[in-house]
Amino acid sequence: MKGERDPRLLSRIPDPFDGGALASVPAAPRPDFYAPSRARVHVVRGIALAAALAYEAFWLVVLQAHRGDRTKATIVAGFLIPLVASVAATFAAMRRGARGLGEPVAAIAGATGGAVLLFVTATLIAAPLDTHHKAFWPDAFGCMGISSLFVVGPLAIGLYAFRRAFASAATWRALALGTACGALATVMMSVVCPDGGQFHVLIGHGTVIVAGCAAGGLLGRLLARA
Amino acid sequence: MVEPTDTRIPPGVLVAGTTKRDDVRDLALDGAMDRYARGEDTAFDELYVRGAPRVHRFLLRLSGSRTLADDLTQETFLRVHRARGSFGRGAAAVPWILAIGRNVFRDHVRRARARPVTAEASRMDDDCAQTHASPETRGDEALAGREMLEIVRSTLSGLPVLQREAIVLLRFEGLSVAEAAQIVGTTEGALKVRAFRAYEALRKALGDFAEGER
Repeated sequence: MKGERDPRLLSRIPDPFDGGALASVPAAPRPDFYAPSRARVHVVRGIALAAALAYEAFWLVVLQAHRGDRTKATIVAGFLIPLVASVAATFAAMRRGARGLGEPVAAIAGATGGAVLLFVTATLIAAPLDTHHKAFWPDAFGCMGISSLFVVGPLAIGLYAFRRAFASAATWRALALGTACGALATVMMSVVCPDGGQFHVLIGHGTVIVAGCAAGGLLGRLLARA
Repeated sequence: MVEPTDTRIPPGVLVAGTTKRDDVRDLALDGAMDRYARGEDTAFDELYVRGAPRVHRFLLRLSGSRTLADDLTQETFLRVHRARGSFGRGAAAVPWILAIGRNVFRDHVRRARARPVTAEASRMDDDCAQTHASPETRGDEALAGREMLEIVRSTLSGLPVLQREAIVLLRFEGLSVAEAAQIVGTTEGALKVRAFRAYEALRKALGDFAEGER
């Protein structure tokens, strides 16, 4: 740290609000509305997780899993890596942290950005080259539509379960939650879509991660802040 | 770099301005918050008695107005009630409640879209400055002390909110950079930059004051 940015210099500034002006506090408010206890909140979040998974399972049944050949590379790129990304982003959003305020912003940003980067890199390395070039964009747009279906439910349920839950860095933590939902949708896409080509996976299946991230950040700022 | 001591801070002012730092880890307050989070409604009174002075002081320094700080303190504890289920087991209550207080203040600023300093604040701060000057200081020194505090107060209230909250948390609430950064929800580097922009503004204002005195 540069010498001129030493926090100890701040102690030289006198406090204009010290002394008698700080003596009294207003009367205590009387909360007249229900607020769930910690145990109730844990139950609600458990139910929310189960509901989000049930929602995904419902659409898997409706859309049906594809029966195409799966190589190890397509399983890794399409299924395992987004799953790891989703779990990493979920932990970044929900961990309590050393002071009970969650992980520091740098850690959340690192975990979320790292999850996205991991998905992109692993897909480029592990997934096979695209083969259906003529129908690339129609297919990709079709998958974007289906993947948005997969992300809407968990994101809405997640934001409900974490409403007014984050005392600090609510935007960042909701953004990580949105990224986790987007990555979960990408996992589901690998089950229902037979196309494992790298750019199809990146654009058709991966765009939803960015969309989930953006939606989580925007909505979390409004809904998830304590 | 010119040190702030060049601004001839009168004796007594700096000593009186340097308060004893409260411990961020207040075990009694943590215990009350934990019981309240578990659903024990009767713990609210203890939570308020132990936590409200610190929250009120924080909001007074941020807003510059006693009336506003009163309202925002009550709003903060209503939000603490609403969010109590999210308070983690074994967590520190002070940073958590201050973070909610900060959210309340930011929401107020957004709603008001106006400078938070009011006539009430100015009146109160005059009283503040008078209380602040040491009884030993007389005449010119006491006057200079009051003027200096008024300069700090007015410069503080004119700072952008992000810079103001950074300097209030670091200088007046006595938090570490890591703690303050978590409350504000930013990185430590960004918080340091904000605090030192505020420090530079205060240093300049106090430097101008000292030049005028000479």
